[in-house]
Amino acid sequence: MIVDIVTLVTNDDEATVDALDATIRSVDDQSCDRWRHIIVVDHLLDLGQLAQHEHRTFVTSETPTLADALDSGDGSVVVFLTVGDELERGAAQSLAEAFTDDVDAVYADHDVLLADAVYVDPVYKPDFSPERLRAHDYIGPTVAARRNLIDEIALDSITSDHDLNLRITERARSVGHVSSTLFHLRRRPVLSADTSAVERHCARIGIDADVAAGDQRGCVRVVRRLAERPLVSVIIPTRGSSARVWGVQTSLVNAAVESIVERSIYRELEFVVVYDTGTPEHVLDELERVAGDRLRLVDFDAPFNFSEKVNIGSVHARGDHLLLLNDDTQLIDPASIEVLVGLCDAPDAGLVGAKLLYEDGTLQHGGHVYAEVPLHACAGWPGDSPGPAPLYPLAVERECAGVTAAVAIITRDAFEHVGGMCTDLPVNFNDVDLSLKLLAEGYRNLWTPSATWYHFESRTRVRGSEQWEVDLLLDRWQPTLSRDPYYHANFVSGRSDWSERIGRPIAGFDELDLD
Amino acid sequence: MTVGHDRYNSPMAADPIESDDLDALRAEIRRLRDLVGPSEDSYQQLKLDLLGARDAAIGATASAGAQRGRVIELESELQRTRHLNGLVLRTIAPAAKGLRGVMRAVRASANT
Repeated sequence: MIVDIVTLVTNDDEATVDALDATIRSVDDQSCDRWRHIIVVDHLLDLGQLAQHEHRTFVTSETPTLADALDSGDGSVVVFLTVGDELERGAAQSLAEAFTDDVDAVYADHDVLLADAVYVDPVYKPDFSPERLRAHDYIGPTVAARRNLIDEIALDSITSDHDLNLRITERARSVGHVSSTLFHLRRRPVLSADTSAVERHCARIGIDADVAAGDQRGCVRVVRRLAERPLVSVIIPTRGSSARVWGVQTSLVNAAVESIVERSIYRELEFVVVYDTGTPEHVLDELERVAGDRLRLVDFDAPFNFSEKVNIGSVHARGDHLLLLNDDTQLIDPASIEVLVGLCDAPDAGLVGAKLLYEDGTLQHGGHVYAEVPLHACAGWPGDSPGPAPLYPLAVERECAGVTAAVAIITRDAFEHVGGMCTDLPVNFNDVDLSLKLLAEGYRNLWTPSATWYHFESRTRVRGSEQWEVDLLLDRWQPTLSRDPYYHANFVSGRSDWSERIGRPIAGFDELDLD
Repeated sequence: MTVGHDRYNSPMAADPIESDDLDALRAEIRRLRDLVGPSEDSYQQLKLDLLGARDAAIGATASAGAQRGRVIELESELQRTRHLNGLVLRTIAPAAKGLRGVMRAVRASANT
């Protein structure tokens, strides 16, 4: 497989020549000979200043375009390399090797090239995340694609890297990710989003949505319009407990249902409350008063098993959308259920989770992170934080390996396809297990910051998992728990805040060795 | 035959109550209320107070949470900065050591 590395040069000034020279040298350093470097330059550029190579072709034009470059190459894979950006040694080979079977496009991690040949600020990316790519261009100018796929794209109409990446990935059968820093880019904003490109992308792939500016700079928000408003069955396992919430003794399940009845703008709901036989009668009476004829009460008289209660609830539910809800929650944003339904209606959507806040407004759930152990992303961070730089994971709708079932929606089809929740895990990790079953079956689990609930889970209580529960989880899912596709191997194990693992050398400094 | 029960048609309701008796009863209720505590009005006031206290609790909890969250966020930033600092030290130190050697050699050759 030959990789065509394509560079477009539209200026002929001295700075451009210097930048191009650096780009060329990085390409010359490739450890294999499976590459061709095609450079389309302005006809006024003095080529004599630039290094020649048997694998390099210069194409001159009065109005250089990428199409000119593609016409001059015949490699089966194309990489666009911007003037001034550099390839890591071995990048061409790594990219070429990633094109296996049905992989049509591949991207890699990158860092930032300083003027003194030192590389800083690495951007470690998740595996392919189409939902996230709609929110911001997390891939950047680091993509390689099969030539036949590139040929389908009208390159002269491309408006940005984001536009190009959307067009490539929506056509690709599968998109690969090389978890290595193969590109060194000149300093530029890490996050950018092309609103009009996302609008066109949504139109092309049939997402009926408005594309609005996101809360975070460089991000947009895709707000889906619902073609229909299906019945959502809210399944709530409960034993009718009360607890002090904001200083007031509160019946949890009643408050959970009441918050939805009072605040949600999505009205096509039924409440399937699976209650323990010992639930106080007045709690059930109050539920009937609040939910009226939308309430379905299901008596559960077996020993406690959260998974079994949810499964039984799904059997009694009439809707094709199941909203799994803990009884110690309260809805915040009125549009939350609508947002969840919109995401859940994607054909390959699995479990779709919400942003959950503790009683004090700090973050309880921002998606799961599996860093050897299951964790909640950035737990305890401010509830309105976009999350750690540079990719701000809490600011955008994105794919996750898993989400909590404290508040999560799933279609009945997907739920039944994976056999519902595992009753062998009655207390802990049943949501991790459900998420990973869905992931293994090819579903995408999603998390959105635009659907928000309070979750009054005790912040001080240590989740009392038993060793046998941990063993069972590891027995079933250790490979994924050790390698979360939406996190990164370069992040510290046991933490969920995107902290970088210690030990990475700063590339470039080794050349300063003066001994 | 089913016998209906009407709480407003009880034998007691059938006996007319004299207005003097009514006044006396109302006075007795006032006296008892004074003895035992708040009236319906003050109950409403208590409910409002409770809601006000709850709102204050929510505000105070959120304010404390914002501070707590910021501390955790800063701890994470600190960890990141320490990591980067260590990284720079580890990579620069050998080069700096080499540079010292070069400088020593330069000085030595200048002195001779």
